[in-house]
Amino acid sequence: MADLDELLALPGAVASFTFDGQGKVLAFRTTPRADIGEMVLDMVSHICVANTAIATMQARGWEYLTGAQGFYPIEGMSFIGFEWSVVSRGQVGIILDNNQADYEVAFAALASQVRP
Amino acid sequence: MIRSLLALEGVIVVCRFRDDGALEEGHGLVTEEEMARLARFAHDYRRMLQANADQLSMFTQVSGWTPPQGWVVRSLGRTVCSVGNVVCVASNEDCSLNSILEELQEVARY
Amino acid sequence: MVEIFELTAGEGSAHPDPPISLGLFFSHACGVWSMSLVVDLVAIPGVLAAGEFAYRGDGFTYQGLLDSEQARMASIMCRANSLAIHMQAGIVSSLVEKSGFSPPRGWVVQGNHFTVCVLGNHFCFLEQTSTSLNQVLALMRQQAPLPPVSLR
Repeated sequence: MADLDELLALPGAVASFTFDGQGKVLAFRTTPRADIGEMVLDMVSHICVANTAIATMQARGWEYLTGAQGFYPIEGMSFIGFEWSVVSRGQVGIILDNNQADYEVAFAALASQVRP
Repeated sequence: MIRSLLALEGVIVVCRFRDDGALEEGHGLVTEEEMARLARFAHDYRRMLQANADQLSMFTQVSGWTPPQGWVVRSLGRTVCSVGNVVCVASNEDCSLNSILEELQEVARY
Repeated sequence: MVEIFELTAGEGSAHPDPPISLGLFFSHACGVWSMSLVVDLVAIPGVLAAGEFAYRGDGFTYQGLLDSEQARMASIMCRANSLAIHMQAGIVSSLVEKSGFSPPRGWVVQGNHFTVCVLGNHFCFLEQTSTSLNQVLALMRQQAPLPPVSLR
């Protein structure tokens, strides 16, 4: 079970959330310094599901065709927006302020909490 | 020309969009702004679908997927379908998907 | 050595127009290939390859441990995802004014051993264990140009 409060304490984190396999938000935490409402979280969760699914298909195809290993399964995904970034793994996501984001720490924190 | 789609049972709105996604022509019971949004979405979705079709061909090495002719997205109450640069929205209860796709293929040629 | 390739229709070019010459492409769609970023990226230890794809899908350039066919595939995949996130960011920003996500800068995907990063139209394949993701992303954010207005 992801600890959303712990994820929200990561550098640059302004929201943490969990979602189901369809992208529906199950739980979330936000900080007052960012105006991120439930609608944005809902859209972002759906984006995480959609892009992880596409990346999984691509990792599959890439490994079939090239014979390379190490791309599948997808263990994390990030969408880097203009001001915010989303980092997700499995059904957990974090929204980060780009200016303070530490992507390595975010991926590592998710990896310690979430199985893909 | 695309107005003929509105004559089909269940069709609510039909739009033709330019290659840059701008609305070229629209008919139906929605506002001009909503038509412009539909045109933009259809353009973006087609571009994404084309990219996915390219990848399907690339990964499977099987031809026949590209270029994709069109797409259909169906929800509980509405269906959005598009062929070429024409997109329409129809009510699931009343529409015949086959008739709409047939007509879309016809009007998308022009 | 940076290699430059032109794609023909059906090989990743989703644009309805026929392929155009690279010269025309350079001057009208992209400016110039940002070779320096590609060169800087592959100089980072643990970076396997880096490259740049054309937003129109009709060309790519790369450097590193990929063959040209793999680089072609990578450019097709990276372009596909970038188009998808532009659509997604556009939808979010049409719902929320100043959402903070638009225009999108790029995306990252981690496998169990390798990571792929794309900022703008530049891609980078790196080994997770021996590369700093932050370093790569900082460099790419600094140097990768914003997408053309037509994609935003």
